[in-house]
Amino acid sequence: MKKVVDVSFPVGPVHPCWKEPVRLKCETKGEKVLQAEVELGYMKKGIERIMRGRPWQEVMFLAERICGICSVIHNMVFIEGMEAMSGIPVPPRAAYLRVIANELDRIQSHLLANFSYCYTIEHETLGMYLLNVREKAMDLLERLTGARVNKAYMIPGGVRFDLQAEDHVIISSTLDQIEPDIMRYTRMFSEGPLIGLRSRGIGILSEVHAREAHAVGPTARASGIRTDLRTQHPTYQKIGFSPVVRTEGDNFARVMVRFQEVAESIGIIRRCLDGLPEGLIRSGGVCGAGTITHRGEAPRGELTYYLKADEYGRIVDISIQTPSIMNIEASAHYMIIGATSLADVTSTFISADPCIACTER
Amino acid sequence: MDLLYEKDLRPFKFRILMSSRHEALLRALAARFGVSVPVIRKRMIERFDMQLLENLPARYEAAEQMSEGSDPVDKALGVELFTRVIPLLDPGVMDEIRHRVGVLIKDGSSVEDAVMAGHTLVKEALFR
Amino acid sequence: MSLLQRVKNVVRSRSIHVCFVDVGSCNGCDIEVLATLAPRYDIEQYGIYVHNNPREADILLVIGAMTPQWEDKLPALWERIPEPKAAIAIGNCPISGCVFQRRDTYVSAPVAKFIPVAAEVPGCPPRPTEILSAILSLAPTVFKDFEERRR
Repeated sequence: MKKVVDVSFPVGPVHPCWKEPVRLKCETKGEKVLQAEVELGYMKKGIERIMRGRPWQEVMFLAERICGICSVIHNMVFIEGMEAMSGIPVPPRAAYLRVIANELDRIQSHLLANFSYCYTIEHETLGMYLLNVREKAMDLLERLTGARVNKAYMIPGGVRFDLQAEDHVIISSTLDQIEPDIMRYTRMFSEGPLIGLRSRGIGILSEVHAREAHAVGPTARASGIRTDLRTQHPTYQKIGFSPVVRTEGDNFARVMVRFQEVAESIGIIRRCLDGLPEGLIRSGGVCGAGTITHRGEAPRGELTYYLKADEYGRIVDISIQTPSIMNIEASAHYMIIGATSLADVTSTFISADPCIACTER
Repeated sequence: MDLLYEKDLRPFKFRILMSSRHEALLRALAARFGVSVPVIRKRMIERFDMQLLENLPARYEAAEQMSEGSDPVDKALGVELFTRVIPLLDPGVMDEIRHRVGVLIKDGSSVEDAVMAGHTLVKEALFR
Repeated sequence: MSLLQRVKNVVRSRSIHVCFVDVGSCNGCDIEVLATLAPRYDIEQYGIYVHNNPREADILLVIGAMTPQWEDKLPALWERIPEPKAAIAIGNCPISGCVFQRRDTYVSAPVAKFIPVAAEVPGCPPRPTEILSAILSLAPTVFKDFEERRR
């Protein structure tokens, strides 16, 4: 990239605010950022290359390990893609359980993202509150799927574990516990005057730029783009929900969209539990040949799998487009530009919920 | 001074451009200009940072959806495409080409001929 | 044992600074390290502070399967940590490469090829409590009587 000025302000790869290594080179004039450049390669493992030529039973576990924060949705999109390709039916109970697992994962991912943001703007109290609520969501995930992070809950034709009557009660009572907490923290965030000073009107991403960089998920929804792939998913259509959209496009809006989506997810899980159909959780089937482009809504936005398999269920070609690719690009090339203080660079970058493991695979 | 973090990023950028979706994009662009894929790849590695390289296929797709309904000459030349979506050209250079094509059309040459001439200019500007 | 050593032992037993560095994992271990900060596990009650600054760290948590970008940077980062120091490998990736150590991969596990690793916590990912107990059980063996033993 072209050098504009001589002063380059590098952030990272090891930085107190960043969970993962990435290097951000900002060209600055005074404290104003003129342009920023992202340097990757710290997490490139070549997962797509490893996946090629392997049976789906192995690719399923590799797909999950693309990202540890949103592992459920990677599993879900890959398995649903394989099902759609081979015509494997999913029992209704399993479809509902998938939605519950996915929404619990969304809750913990959004809470972690908001924790990171609060931690970056040095509001540790709220950050710790959020991290504590997140542990409760993690407990529910562990109860449902048997693991905290890499769960491998979904398999072609169903899910691995059923929800017992006892789990049903525990999930709904825990949701009753965490909902008022999340409401309280949302109010703390939206009304906190110092948080407002650090967040409102900073790192603005206009709708035009969001469309140009193809921003997705909460980042796009905070800029007024009404995009949520859950509205096209058959199970979600049955359950019913409406996407959260805000129009400010600043750091504050992005964090608030995530808070509101957590509340929305709690509602979805409740409706799922109320209408949970009886029946089998696994129906069986054989994965066959085909080519498919399958999309799903990850916590960070649209996740796309381009799959091609042979008749034995081996993956011939695979290409994965994760939401963080677009969101980090929007963040580095549009949001950070014009930041009037270097302290805002890290918080703006974190507000887009960057996941480097997703980006580089 | 030994700068640990300032190192040659070209091999890492090359790895990004090796995925099958990037390959398809590069082939499309190469076919458009009638050059080989490595030429385009080299140009991109020189000019773009790594995050933009990762995002190229998504940007390209978004641009194809957005460009519906825009001016046919602009679309044929790729005015939006090469200045904003895949910023291989500086806006000033592209504006000049667009202007020259506009002059050609005004002087009475057919739109196809003018676009062809413009296309050659874009190719020259890209692979000088 | 000298008085100075005794003072150092007391101070070091309640003040352990931790730096974690991700050298190419799936992020799962990162968030489990972050979860140890949560009030439920409360890493700070043991006097452990997690902040990513190698220059004031005592313990380095290495996460991930070693990507090419880190091959020269991780040893350099290790050298910047002042003595006494120790590295703990968190998760399967730094130990064996886990699912990433296959044909066509870019990673070059294990991390022990590049820096000396004092302890390993296997798991994909390990639980926050396991990470916590690994740090707590390693710290006395590394830091107690460090100067006297070195003499």
